[in-house]
Amino acid sequence: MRPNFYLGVGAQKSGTTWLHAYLSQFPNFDFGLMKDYHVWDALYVPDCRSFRITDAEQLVWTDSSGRVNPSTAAFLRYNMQRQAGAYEHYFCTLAKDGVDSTGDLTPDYACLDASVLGQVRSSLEGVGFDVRVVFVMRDPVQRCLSAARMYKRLGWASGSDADVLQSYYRTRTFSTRTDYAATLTTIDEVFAPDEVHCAIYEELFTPSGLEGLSEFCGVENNEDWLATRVNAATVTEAIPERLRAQVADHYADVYAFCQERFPQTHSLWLA
Amino acid sequence: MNILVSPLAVSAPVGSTTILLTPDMRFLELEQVGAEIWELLSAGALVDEIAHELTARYEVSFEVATDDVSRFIGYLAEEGVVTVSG
Repeated sequence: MRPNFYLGVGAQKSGTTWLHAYLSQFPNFDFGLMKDYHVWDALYVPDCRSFRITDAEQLVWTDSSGRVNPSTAAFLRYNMQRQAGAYEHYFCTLAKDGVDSTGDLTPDYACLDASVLGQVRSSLEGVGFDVRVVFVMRDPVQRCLSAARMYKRLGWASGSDADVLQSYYRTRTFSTRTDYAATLTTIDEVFAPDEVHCAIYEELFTPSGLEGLSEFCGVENNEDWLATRVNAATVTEAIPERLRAQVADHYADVYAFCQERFPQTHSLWLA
Repeated sequence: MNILVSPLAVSAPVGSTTILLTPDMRFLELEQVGAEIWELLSAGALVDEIAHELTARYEVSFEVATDDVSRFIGYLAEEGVVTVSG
């Protein structure tokens, strides 16, 4: 039986860290050193060039005593980005000793085009994997708000949540990661429907949402995880209704596309 | 002798040394000559080509250089960095 490779394609701020933690509890899953490897986005998505490792300084970290140490993850990513076959070969080394499932859950893969996604699929199939896709979508306004809060936490932006959301929601970086219609169209070009699991973030932590995910990934449903949140931020600031409406209006096409394809988003989103 | 370098082996300069990541995700710190041999080896050079290069760079006979290269390749093979056949 061929091992499975789960390619997580986002969306950013839509529960992919939880997804990684949930699947990692099962002994037949091994995602290796990282959750998101940032290989294909770094190579092919202009917005993601910052993930390219081009400098020796990016390969090391300095400990509390000032000693400089090589970073295993950075070396691995560096190799995957520069050496053909390294990405596929690494995941092959994981699929042994009872492990039949691995993967790469890099949210920025939502921005890959069909030719790159097809190339990723072919190269993984070439080394023996069955490739399957998981795509989790979240209410666009909530996704953008969560991304804005992440920008603040990382020191990339400052001000109130509303200020940062106002500044960024129309940017290319936010728009491409919220354009679920574009991502789904790309996925549809490369994968058959039974090779893809599309989930709605707002349903992910419900019994039926978890059951669908577990079934697709071939793992036993573990409802203990329904109450588990990973990487969840505490929200204290309210967003003005006017700004919320502006962001929703900007993403009106995404709401419309998703409501047609996933009717439940009509009641789940903008609730 | 055929030498196949693992696609998972990668090196980079870190400070004044060269660090090599092995396929099982461990680091080897290479001395200068080791780093030079590794660089030539990973570029596809054969043992006697590497030995010749070392004789040009250092005051060492071809026989001694060949022994050194072979011993270093044996070490890399034990670490899984290369596979030697033939």
